[in-house]
Amino acid sequence: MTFTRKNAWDLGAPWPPEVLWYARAVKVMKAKKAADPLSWRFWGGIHGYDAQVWKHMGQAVAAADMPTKADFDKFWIQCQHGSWYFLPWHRGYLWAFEKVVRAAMAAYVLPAKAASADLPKDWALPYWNYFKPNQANLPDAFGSPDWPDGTGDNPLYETERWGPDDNGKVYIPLTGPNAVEENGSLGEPVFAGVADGGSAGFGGPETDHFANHDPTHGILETQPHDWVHGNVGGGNKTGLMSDPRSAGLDPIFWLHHANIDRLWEVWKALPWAQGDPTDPKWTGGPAYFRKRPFVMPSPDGSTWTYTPGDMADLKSLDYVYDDVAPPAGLAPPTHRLQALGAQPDRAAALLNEVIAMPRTVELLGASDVGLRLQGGEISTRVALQAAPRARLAANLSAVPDAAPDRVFLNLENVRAARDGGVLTVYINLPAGANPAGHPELRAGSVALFGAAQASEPDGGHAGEGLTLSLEISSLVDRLHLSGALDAGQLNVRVIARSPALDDAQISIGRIGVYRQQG
Amino acid sequence: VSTASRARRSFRRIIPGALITLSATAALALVLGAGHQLAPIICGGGPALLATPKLMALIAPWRLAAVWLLMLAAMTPALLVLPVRHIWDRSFADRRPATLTAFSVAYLGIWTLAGAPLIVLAFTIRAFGLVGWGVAAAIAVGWQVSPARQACLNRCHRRPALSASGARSLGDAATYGLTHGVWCIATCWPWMLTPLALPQHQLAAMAAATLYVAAERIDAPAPPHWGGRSSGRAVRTAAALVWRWTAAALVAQAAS
Repeated sequence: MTFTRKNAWDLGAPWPPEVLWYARAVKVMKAKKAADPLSWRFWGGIHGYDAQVWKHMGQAVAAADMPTKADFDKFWIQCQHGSWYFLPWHRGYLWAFEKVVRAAMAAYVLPAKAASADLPKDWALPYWNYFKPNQANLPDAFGSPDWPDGTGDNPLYETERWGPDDNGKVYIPLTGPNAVEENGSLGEPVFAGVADGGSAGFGGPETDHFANHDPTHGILETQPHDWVHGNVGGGNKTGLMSDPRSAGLDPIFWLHHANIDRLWEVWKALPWAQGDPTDPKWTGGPAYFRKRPFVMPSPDGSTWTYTPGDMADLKSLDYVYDDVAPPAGLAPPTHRLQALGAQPDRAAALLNEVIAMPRTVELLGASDVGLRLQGGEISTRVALQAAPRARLAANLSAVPDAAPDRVFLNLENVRAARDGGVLTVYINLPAGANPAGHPELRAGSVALFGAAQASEPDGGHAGEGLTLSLEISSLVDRLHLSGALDAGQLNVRVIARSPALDDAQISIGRIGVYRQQG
Repeated sequence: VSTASRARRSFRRIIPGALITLSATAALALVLGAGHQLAPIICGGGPALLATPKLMALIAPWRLAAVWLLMLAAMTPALLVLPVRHIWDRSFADRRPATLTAFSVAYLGIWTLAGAPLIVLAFTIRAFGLVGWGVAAAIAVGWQVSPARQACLNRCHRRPALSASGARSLGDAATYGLTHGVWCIATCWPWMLTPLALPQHQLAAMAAATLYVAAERIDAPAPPHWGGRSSGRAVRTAAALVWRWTAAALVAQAAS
């Protein structure tokens, strides 16, 4: 049987059978002890775990209820972030979770007074497509403490889910300075990136290890994945979804990740997308390097082991999405080339040249080191070095005869005491100007998903924080065409979404601007 | 694409290969030197070495320095892939030679400071033969499985913010080299000491130690606790690396 994952909002509000049965399965899973491989907390722990974080979120697990050491070491804390394994690992995680949910549905005993509904044999995880018109709000069934009959233990409801305004109203902002964007990542032609200051790739930087939390997130992971986590979990209040160590405990996590998984399929169907890597270092996953393999428990008690290569083709996984059409208004990457003066045919040829070109990255400019946000923001100067700036200017002027460089702004070594923050970056914003009035100067926004963990000296990043990358090619093109690049510097202003973020102790090691050929 | 661009790209990609080549070259020099000028230090041993004026004369400072630097050049480059790439990425192209030099001088400098007591200790252990070596190895194993050692190993993964311009770029690179060296010494001193303190087969032991610490460094940081979490995996990784290199060499030989 081929299962179809459907849009949760389009199933009908507020309690379509697919969501109702998901809630029933979650209830079954939540009733089990964390040590049980089919329990809710076990599956949350597979993504991430930290005793203090779970305790803080009201999810503490008694020592006696924890998994055995063998199960803990084998299954828990597996999530792949900041890596080209991000998408395939999460695809397998969702696929295995669906099977466990179906088993839990079968075990659910309908209360006598409950409205009868047949167990859907073709049940598949719905997805939350927050980008679709009028679907940016959290699906209703997740926001109500009650079941459809008014009883108050709806397992889809979560109190540790604060929303972008920290008031418990959960929605994804799609307009304004902190808007979550769908199209940015889909314009990237190449799956694999490198954590060297240039493009981190649609699917994430190439890594050669079990990348539980690497510092540089891929483009799709940065936007919209991280951002949705931050918007659902909260800003100044940190909810389950704000932190990768607790995110898997929120029932909406799975619908969010189904949408991210769907966007992978949307991207693969785009004409400029170069497809998944075929390198055995990707297809084989960390196991190729003799590192910890990807493993999931199955309802029959067996262990399912998989690799990224197993995840590349949905046909082999027996599920599809009901909608993988590209979003309306998605601009192809050739638009930038046309804006620089190339005719459409030439722009298409230049794009192919860029894709085929050897990839070279060099530092173009950098700020001072040790920047700390105060009052929720910081302004600094990024001095552009003369030689690479001249190379960039000559290169941009050479369009349409030659392919232009791409330019990336990196917030390097970003540390924070807690997750949940969103930083929006502006370039050359006039002094005293209202940022909201200058969307043309907005470089983009990044969420600090995983920043707290990345700031721990014994964490996976050795305390050096995250490095968050934004492509600013189009913005730099405009500066070039207006002659503003000749000033030899960029004035960068970083603004936290909520002004009361001082207790989050957000600091930026350095802001670097890089040019990339190819 | 300009020739310069290709060169920049290709160098970043071959950083691991370049460092391993440096390591292999230094190892070869040690092997060749072990039979000649450097023999008293690498292979000499026992109380006689410390007690005999004639032999003491052989331990001229230049010999000590040569052996130590060759040991460092043989054993540490594979550990420096991450910091060298970090400096390469975070430096302006024309500053890379200077920042990499500042890092290297600081790193080698702090290791060289550590070398004097380690060599004296190694000779002292040799004076007590296999029993002395066994005691030293037991202490080394104790350190190896300690949480403190894992904490030091974790700090070897640091990639700090680096200034890009002026004297500050050199200062930051040198500070990085110094701190990286300190955590490296704290993590790896037993792997330098115990091979050197062996009564014989020192070079083979150094090679094995190099392979082990390089494989271990590939693992991400982990919470410190007793037990030597990554040792088994590192050994498997090292074995896999050797197997792949051997297989690749055989394939290349067959193809030629």
